[in-house]
Amino acid sequence: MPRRLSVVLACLFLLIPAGAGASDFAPDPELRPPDCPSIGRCCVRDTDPCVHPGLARALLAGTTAAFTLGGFMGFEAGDSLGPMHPWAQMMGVGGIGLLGAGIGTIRGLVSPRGEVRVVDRPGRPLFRLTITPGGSSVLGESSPYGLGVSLDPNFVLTDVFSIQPHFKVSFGLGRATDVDPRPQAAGEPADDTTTFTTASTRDSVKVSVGAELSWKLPYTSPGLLKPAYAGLVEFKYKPGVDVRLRTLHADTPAEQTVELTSLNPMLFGVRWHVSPRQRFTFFVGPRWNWISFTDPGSSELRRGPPQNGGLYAEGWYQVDVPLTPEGRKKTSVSGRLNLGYVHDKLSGVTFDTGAVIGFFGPINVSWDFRFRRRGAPVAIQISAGVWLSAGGGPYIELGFVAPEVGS
Amino acid sequence: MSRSLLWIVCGASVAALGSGCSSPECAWGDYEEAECRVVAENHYARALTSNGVEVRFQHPLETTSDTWHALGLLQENQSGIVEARPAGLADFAISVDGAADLTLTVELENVAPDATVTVGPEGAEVDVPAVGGTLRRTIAITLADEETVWIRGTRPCPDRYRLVTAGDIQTNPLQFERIVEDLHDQVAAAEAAGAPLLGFFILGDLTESTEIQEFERIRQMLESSPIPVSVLPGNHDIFGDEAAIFSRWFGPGNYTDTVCRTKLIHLDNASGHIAESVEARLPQMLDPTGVDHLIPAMHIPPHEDGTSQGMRDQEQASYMLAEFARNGVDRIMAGHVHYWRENVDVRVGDRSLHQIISGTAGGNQGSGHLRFGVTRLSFGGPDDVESCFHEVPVPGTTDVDHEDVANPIDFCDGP
Repeated sequence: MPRRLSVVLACLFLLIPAGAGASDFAPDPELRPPDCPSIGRCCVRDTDPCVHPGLARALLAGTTAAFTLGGFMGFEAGDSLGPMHPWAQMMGVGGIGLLGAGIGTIRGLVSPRGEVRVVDRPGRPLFRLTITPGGSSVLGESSPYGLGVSLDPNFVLTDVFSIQPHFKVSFGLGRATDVDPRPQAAGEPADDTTTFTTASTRDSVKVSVGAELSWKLPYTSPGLLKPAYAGLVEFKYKPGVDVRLRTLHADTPAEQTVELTSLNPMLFGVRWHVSPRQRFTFFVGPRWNWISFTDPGSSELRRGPPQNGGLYAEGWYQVDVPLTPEGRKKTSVSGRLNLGYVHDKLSGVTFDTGAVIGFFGPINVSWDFRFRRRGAPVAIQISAGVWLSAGGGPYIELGFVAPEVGS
Repeated sequence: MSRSLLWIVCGASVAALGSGCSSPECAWGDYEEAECRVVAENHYARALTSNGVEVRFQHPLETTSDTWHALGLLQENQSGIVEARPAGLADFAISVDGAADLTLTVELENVAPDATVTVGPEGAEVDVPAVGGTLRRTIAITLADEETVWIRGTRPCPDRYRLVTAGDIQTNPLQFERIVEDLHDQVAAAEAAGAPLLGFFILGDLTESTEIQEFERIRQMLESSPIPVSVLPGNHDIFGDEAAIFSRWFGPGNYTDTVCRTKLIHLDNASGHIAESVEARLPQMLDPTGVDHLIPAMHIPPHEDGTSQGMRDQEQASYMLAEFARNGVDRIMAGHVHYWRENVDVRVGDRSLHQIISGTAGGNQGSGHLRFGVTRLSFGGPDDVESCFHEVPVPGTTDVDHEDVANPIDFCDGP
């Protein structure tokens, strides 16, 4: 797996246009404030409102370090996690904020053009196709490629409010097959490459529906202390529902389908623009799960009331990277580094280390490219990433970017 | 090199990675993987001795030795004696095949003192007496006429009976030793109450660091148990394991064990999930035909209850819970979380399940009330299953507070 991943990632670097990035690394004294003694005490030039990125990142680092430490201490105090204990979520989301603040600081220091806003920064495209690699290294087994189709139109309602509905369906392009490795198990071999018999085949489908409502909070409020120019904050509300259908064709007369539905009606979050190019976003909220199942030979799902699904959380740190000089090329290219943690616990992907199995959600590292012809209203966005986790792996996305409605 | 050429090279490399380079399941022996432990537990359920005798664990009702089942652990020691440890708490069978006049000594471990053990070819068995109330029996066999010799064990089945269970020994094996000692009192009390204590099943995490010395110490402790003990692996028993250590010391983690009218379904989910081949066998393993009670047992609770401490793959956990619901299991027993917690109404479809977490065998419980001990399950008629927590307090405890409002515990009334 690591060999496959390294080859794929190495190949993805070919997506970078020739010469891209050169402008970003060439010194450009015009864009760096000559009279600024400290990056933490200066507004980013030509950016309204004023932001002190150094200070903002220091605040973020301090806050998230406290969260991470608090989560660790909470876990250590009880040794185990109780219902709705937030310790693992605090460690995961806090860790991303802390790591992001560090990466963001380094990026801010080495960026010769300062931290002015990237004009056409990557975001969530209107339409996306996601492909996850399949294949199995076990003889007789198969793991299909996965395909996801997403729709995320963005509606700008006012200067401060926007809403982005979300729809996604993901499924395997074939059936997963597993073998029974007991040498004495009787039956026909799975195929002519192995003597092991087929244990089961599986189909799975996942559908996600939701929306993300964003509200830009006022930067300064009369009567309150000044915000210390620590960056804009957006308040977010992201209700959603996931439905996962899994059909197992075991060594029994009838297939069995299980539906796992997860409802997130109170998922609230905050996006903190610590610099015009860097953002920290997190969401947290309770979740309710329903398990429904069929009887053998029946397609009717037996449904019932929900059960406590625990505390869902996710955290992201994003860094925009301009790759072509603004207005000087026929096609502008911008990039974005994403570092995330998703405390999901539903997808079978967890960040495990040693005997710590299943406590944490996966870590995401991904990169987006956005390509836009000069003056064009639409753009193409290509992304590649990896879920650093047991059960995770790489993926690529191809997105079509349309103008925001109402902007 | 031009960019186009690089694209061609990359395309060819990716295509090459997508084909070939495959090997049979568990060819590389990574026993941290659940499916690899299925391979190991089946491997150690049979043995070919140095003098060419084939010894195999079989289903208790099996009459031919054509195949074998992962229902115990077999290994030949340096003295040429075959040590056989049935994994279950009740009936077992072992087949012995080889050329005429070959001899073999079998030392049985983990066999109840009240079990009737016989040895010999089908229809010509003789009894093997218990050795002073211990869990051991020694059998000398001389093969003849290439007939299969069978070693079989059966236990009497009372109207009412008990089982006890707990998991998570980890950092405090000394406390676990107190729990094993306490079993002697529990056996006497159960006998007096007319519901004999038939066995103890451990819910994983015997060790903290998957070290051989830790497994050795636990196995030594279990030799002083008055009743048979079955064992499951936990996440602390398998990490970084490239030598199938758990399987080598305790045998299988995926099997069913029928104790009187109760079927214990042992599921190894120490890796955060069960092996896909075991998942495929779940309908058969949970088949309630011929028994009154179903008790699935595993290390990591399949119902997470909002703790983030459930199985890695909640989709698979949902499938397991659905199978449990369909077959009407009586209790789901798990460890992993270091406290005692009961969920009497886990809703799965239109059914309700009853899950008990009993990670109380010695592992660190952090701050707050320490609760060490075992969960006692009492069985009677078809719908008669009772459960409670039997505490084995830490020495020095003067006032055992049974009023923990935050985490109410159903303590057992008597010993």
